[in-house]
Amino acid sequence: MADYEIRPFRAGDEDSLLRTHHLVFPGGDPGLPPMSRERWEWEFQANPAGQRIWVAVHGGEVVAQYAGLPAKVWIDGRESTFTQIVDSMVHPDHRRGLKHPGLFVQVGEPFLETVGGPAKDLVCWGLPVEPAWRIGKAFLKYELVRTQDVLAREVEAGPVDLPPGVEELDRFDHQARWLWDRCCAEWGASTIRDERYLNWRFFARPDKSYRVLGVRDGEGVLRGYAVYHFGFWLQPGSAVLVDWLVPPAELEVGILLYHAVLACARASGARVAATLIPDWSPWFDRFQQGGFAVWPSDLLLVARNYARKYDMLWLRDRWWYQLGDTDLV
Amino acid sequence: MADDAFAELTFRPYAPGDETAILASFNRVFAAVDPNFRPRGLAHWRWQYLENPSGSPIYLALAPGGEVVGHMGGVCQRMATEFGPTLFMQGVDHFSDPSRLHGLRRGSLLAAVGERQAELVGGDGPDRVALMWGPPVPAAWRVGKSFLSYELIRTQLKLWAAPDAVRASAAGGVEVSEAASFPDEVAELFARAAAPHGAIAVRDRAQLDWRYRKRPGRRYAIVLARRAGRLAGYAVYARAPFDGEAEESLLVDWLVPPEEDSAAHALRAWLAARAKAEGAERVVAVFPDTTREWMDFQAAGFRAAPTRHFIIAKIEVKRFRARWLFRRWYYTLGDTDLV
Repeated sequence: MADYEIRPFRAGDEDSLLRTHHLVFPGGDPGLPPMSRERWEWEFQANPAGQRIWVAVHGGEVVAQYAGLPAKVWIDGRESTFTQIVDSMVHPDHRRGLKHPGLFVQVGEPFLETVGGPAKDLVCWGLPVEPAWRIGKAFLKYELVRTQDVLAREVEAGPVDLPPGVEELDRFDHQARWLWDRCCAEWGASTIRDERYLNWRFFARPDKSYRVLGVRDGEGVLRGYAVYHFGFWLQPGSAVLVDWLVPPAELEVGILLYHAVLACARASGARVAATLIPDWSPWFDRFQQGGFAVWPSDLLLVARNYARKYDMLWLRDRWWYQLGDTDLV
Repeated sequence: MADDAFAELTFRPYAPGDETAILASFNRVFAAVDPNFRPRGLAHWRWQYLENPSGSPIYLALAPGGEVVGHMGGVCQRMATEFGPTLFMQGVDHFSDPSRLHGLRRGSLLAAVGERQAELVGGDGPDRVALMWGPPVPAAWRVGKSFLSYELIRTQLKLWAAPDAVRASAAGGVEVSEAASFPDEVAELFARAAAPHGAIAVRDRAQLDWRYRKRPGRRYAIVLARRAGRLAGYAVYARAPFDGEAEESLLVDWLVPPEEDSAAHALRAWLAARAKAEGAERVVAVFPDTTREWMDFQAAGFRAAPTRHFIIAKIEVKRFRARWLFRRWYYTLGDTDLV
């Protein structure tokens, strides 16, 4: 490894990092356009929880990256950070096989050792492709949290207008945190969904648009929201429920938002609506009662934890996450 | 843990006559950790370990006085796979006796037993165990992944429905009846039903009779569906504890070829009627979510819910990769020792 400088990202790496990114992820797959500079800056420079990037540099060029998107998390009564590993890459000219994993592991190891810890990022996690999962399991202490099922249903004919009582939000405000506070008591761990995080995640992203649907009470207080996106997830032209925050006890709010999402799906011309909800949540069952079915997928939710208590079984049974927590949609 | 930590112990496979010492340790160890534990008798032990037509190997660690201080049982299954016949083995009754360990780490002793067992029975070929698997308790999983290369295949969901919610469309000339035993025709049924699966445990008369007719202490209802006299599918039903519930109405086993939709409808209708007659709030089934049955049962009114269980494997033959098993392996509750 003498030819490689392995270190945290620093200013000036951007251009060669993006050149390698375009080579590794050329954007041939639907829903995955090449990374633009604007999106990269949103994802890795503007994230309110910070930046996590390590690179391998060879001849002045970034030829490998191990990166993550941190998020502030409330876990077991305290604030911590979970980091989603994304866009791990090695330039094709610098790759080796599984038995000699090379740069992927050489960059990943110091990243995970530096970033993770009981008082640092408590969990590093992701939804890796199968080869990355195999290497991560063998060399980087990845473990499987869940073989991830998805909820999906056909979109049948019906109203295309939002139901009365549902409004479209153009920003989140401080009430988002109130709403999240009311929900999180039921969860062991969840990304803190406050104004700053949600506006960055759903209103600042430059390459994707989301419709944010909300229900308020008579005093104007936000009682629930759903984030909708029409695009590629699992298949082209999907109506995707990206984020859902409704207290389980407030079924009437959930029903309004559920029908609002279906109305958006019809308005988009989508044939299929899909989402991802942890199977222990009451909403997992309620969405099935509403007509969604549980389908298998190739998604693997994997993690590496840095506190023994929060092992994979603990995370399986207590961690609230949504598609909005991922970089998939 | 150095090997000399085990110098006083004898590691070997089961030999006739060990059952008394095995049961003494088994009943002592599990009574200490499970308040609902009911001691196992010799009849059950003989059924599980001596009478399985596919074999049930045991590996032991014995103290100098002959006490069993480490135990790994296995219940073998003859498998039909797309790579040819082989054996899978469900790991059962894994324990070490903490009162006899004298400073040894429990996990490392179990690992030592497991490694030796794998060396003895694991490998490629029709008479070797290609895969050891099971739905372990968390403690066994932690030992296995640390010491024995256990891999997680699936976080297991279940399907459930209130009896009145089961939608059973026209059964299309299929007759369903409860039977005292499995007919020989089940071999032909298995050949038809096995075709879509990459791996499925052989369900022949010998295996099924052992599993569902001869097991001491539990009664299973065997339900056959016939279309124009020809066996078109079967279901096995029982009331038993499962997933933390003291008693559930359970679909224990299910074998219906893909072309026999009418038989599937008729068998589901029987299940719902039986569960309702018994006053059950729901009927519960377990399938891999990658199977046709998973979607068919949802279409018939079942909903998915989490279980505490997960399926793990120790893979002895590389072509049975974890993701291949996830996609291609058919199993039901009856493949496990949970019910």
